[in-house]
Amino acid sequence: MAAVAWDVPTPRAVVLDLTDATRSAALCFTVGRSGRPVDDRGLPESLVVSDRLDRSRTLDVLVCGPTAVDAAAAVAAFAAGQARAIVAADDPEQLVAALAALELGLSLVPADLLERARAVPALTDRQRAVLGGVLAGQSNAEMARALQVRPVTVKREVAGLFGAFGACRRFELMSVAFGLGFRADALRP
Amino acid sequence: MADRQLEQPAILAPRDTSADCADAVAALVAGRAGVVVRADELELLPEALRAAAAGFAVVSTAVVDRARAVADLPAGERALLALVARGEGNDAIAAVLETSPSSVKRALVRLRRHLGVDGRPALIRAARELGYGKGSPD
Repeated sequence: MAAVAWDVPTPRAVVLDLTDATRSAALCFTVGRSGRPVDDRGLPESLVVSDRLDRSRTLDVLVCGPTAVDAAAAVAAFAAGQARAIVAADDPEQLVAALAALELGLSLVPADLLERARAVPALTDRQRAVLGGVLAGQSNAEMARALQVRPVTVKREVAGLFGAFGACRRFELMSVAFGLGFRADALRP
Repeated sequence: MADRQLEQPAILAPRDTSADCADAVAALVAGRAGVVVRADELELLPEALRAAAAGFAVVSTAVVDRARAVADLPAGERALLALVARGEGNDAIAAVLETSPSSVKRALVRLRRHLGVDGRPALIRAARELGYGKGSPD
């Protein structure tokens, strides 16, 4: 495969682009979309390693997409020991720095990425499902039918989401959640 | 530890146990520390501080790897593990964690399964081997 011209010596570089895989962000690889050079050797057009992340293995480098939700998923993977370094997809310099640091025995996470990740509230599974419904424009009654729970339960979950996102109206909740990078289709149970 | 942003990278030097390393990684992720290296890895410090100055949170790979034994446990279950390791009973644990003794009991079943041990003595031993209950800061 001509694409794999980029020879990384010891630390194995595995590129994970979370942008295209928000649903199970930490579990799916997609083709590294970054065809841009990182140094004079250049980064290959596609750096596909596998299309499934083996949970038992630790990634050396995890390349994170641009949204706060991507950052939160990447940081969660890091905190769970599934990745040794995180770099932002739009900053090739960070990949160079991370590979050099790994060689020395250091793991890196960009500080601004940690900060972005903290803006994302922790949600329960049911809150995620309800948020997905809200972002898809469903009414509480529709969500209650879809999730097979009582309407009062949905109402309570929506109220919890208002609190978590600091919103007091539905459209405000939607705009804050979209702004952080949540997408309806990625939140379906 | 206060939850605040630091101007300069605060350096943590955890002991070489899963418990301390997991706490240190959690502090790093929460922004309460900028650099984490073990006390016997101080030769990494200059390079770590350089990376911190370049805008990275830095932790030695040895610490990340050591933390992995407990890293997939939620923070609440790690707190539980610390209390169990100190030999506290279920009622006392429930009081500290502000939950019911039956929730503690259920959580302990999950923990035993996670650590692959049977019975409380074995759980206590496993928790202590991970570094819990040995003069933890809290």
